Amino acid sequence: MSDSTNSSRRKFIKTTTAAGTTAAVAGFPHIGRSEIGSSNTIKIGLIGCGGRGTGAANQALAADKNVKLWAMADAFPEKIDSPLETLSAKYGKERVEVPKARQFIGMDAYKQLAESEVDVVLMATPPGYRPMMLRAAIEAGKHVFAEKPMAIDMAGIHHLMETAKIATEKKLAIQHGYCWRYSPANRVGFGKALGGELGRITSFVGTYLGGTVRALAPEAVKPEGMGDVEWQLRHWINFEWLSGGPLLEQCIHAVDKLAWAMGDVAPVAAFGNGGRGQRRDAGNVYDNYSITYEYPDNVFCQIQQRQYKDSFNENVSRIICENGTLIGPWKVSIKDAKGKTTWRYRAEKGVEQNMYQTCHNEFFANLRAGKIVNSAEFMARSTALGILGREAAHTGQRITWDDLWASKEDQAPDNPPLDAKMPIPAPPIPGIDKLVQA
Amino acid sequence: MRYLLPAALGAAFSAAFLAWAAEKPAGDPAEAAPPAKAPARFANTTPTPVAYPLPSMNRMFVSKKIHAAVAAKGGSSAPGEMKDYEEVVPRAGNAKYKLAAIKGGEFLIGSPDTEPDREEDEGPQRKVKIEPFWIGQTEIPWQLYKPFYENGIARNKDGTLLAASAKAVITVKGKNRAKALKDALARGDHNNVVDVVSQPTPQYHDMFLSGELPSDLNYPAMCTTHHATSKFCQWLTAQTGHFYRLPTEAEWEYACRAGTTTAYSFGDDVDKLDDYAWHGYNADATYHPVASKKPNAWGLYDMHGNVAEWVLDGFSAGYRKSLKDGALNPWHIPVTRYPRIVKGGSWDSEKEECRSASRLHSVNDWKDTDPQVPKSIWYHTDGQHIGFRIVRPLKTPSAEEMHLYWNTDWWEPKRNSEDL
Repeated sequence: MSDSTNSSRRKFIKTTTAAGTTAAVAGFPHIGRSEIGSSNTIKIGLIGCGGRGTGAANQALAADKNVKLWAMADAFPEKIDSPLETLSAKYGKERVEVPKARQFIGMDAYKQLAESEVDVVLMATPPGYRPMMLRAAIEAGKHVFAEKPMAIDMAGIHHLMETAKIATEKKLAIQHGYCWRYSPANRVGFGKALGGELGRITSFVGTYLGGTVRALAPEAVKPEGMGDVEWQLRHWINFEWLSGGPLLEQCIHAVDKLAWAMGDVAPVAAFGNGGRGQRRDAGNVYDNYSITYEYPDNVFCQIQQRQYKDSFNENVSRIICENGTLIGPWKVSIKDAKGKTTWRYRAEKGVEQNMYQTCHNEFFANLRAGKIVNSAEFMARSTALGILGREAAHTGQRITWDDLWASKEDQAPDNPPLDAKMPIPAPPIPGIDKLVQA
Repeated sequence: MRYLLPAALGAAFSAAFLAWAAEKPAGDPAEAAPPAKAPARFANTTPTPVAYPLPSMNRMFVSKKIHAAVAAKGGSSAPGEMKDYEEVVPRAGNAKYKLAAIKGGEFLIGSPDTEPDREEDEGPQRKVKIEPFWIGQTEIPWQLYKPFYENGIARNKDGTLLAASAKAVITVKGKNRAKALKDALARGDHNNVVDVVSQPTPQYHDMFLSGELPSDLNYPAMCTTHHATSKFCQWLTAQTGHFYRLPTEAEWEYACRAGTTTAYSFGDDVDKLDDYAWHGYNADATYHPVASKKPNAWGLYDMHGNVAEWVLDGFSAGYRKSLKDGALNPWHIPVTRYPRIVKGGSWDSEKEECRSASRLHSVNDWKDTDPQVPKSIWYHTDGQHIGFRIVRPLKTPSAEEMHLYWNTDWWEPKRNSEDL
């Protein structure tokens, strides 16, 4: 590690001014060859204006100086003003031009936005809606950035696979939000392991053990007069049909790193455990999972997920190889068989390290260059890997990859109105609940 | 409304300011005026007096309650009677934290042009006066910080109690009363000022990299924002009755130097740094338990290295030029969230960045892996090298001054633009 200290982030910290973190975008060609390049300005529309959606819009605006935020959509009217003000303050009225007429509100807002004059749609809505919203955007002929995960059930996955084909026919780009795939540090690290530098990859252990995430309070009940769907949507992370549960909603990052480490090949099967260890609220998602994934050539991998208070936390991926372990995603490094650190990633000075930003930089650079990257199928498969583990835990069975793809599980109607009745199913019970077939 | 605030705050607030503060009604916090707007441009130099309104006035009632508790507890104000002591922290299971008494005095802040590897912004050197204070002998360890960030109470994003009103709950009568009371406590007890202090909301994921970095109770707290550390001071004050805040840069450097004028508190010989500090070349890419190296002459550990420590001051490269010799308790008051100063260097630092006069500053890259806008006000996702320690000035300040020390992050009420 002695050679690494001169290019460390500490020097970077010292030399970067507070405002000096702008992405390296000046070099992008402004005249592209795809349909997007016919005009200098790319109009983007944001569906889902929460914290992550606003973050994505910010990254899109930073990625390319001729990107303009043109329209916004959210189920709830009060979600628009604050992000609009924030983004306007940073980028100015010229680049954030969303008059009332292009602020779409309600359950069909996504459709109105998709069919408006935007070129690119950014989606950061609860994943239960993703297949439907992605289809609408593709049918309207828009390029899409979609946050992870892509669906919460197999019906959604099958729907996505069809959308992927339509997008290919229409030459539309779909950029995924599995952000770690864009992390410069992890690209180098995973590249080392996958390139065979440490010998054969024998296993992968990924953890996402953290605290509670916007969990309902134990005593929380639906306010008088509010519809079932509205209440559940306002607390979407707590409900299976909206979030898919924490293995999909949050730990899908660890699951996707598993897929990455395995070279994105199909697994054989999965089995595992899960339950509600601390949760006592009205929602129906589990708060812990422990899944064993079986891969060809007798490779067994492990994913652990937990959202507990006052417990040990860890968010680490370990690619275990014959001659060492590649550790990520935060402090990307290699440990030898004795546990000694033999290599550590050091950021190259001045090179963008923020993976959320590199994701959007590459998205818009590709669009400018007329390079259409459609990652919908890849995303669907990575999400399905999460569903495989979740269903194994929910049913208590060993579920094969083929069994899973035969399933047509559909947890909810596509777009119920806010005042619709939506009873909350009890959390699944292993041994009793079965994988939904046909 | 504008009024004058002398930059040397230790001296006194202007009469105009105190009169203004006194005429503000306590009132219902929910009905209080919204946070005052920061001025478009702030001269940001001391000791030049500057006009600006106080931040976060709708939370002044909390600071006033705490000030009253500190005043009621009283204590010595004679410099000659100051002693080292152990603070007992009830919310941390009565854990103890040692503070060293530091006599007032004069010292040369900054480094001379001749000091190797120094940065331009460390000068010119100025002779400044510091009034007596106590300072933590160690960086604040997880033992004290965990009960603060894992407070287990439902809160809004700004850390205020989630429940709008305690009254709605405690009016419940009959057999449901016990449960209602329990639920109210889970939301936070409005009658307990320690709960009322704004405190961190849960992390979205483990930012402390617990798998790769230890989180044992004797390691220093890290990944803390400047705002979170200021609120920690308020939280600690509320439960101990002693006024705590972050040190100013001048106080920090005065304590670090411990009477020396050399590059390090142990002299100029950088080869000795390993005895006193965890830095980028001996720390094996991690932080270490507090006080596992030698202390300086005043008994303070890890002033060089381990985690870099927040101070109250905002950063500007030219600040020292505007500082005058003889300034009393100088404080470069920050009105923006970035950049602010961290002192002492860290386990991730070059050796020269651990010098007494060295000053690094915050950048928004420290929140790179926070995907949301606005970003968390409590955690630096990429600040595993950032921590803090606390001071208690001998003179107890006014409620308004306390409020200011604990709320400099709220000059700009919008939480967004700087973090984007």
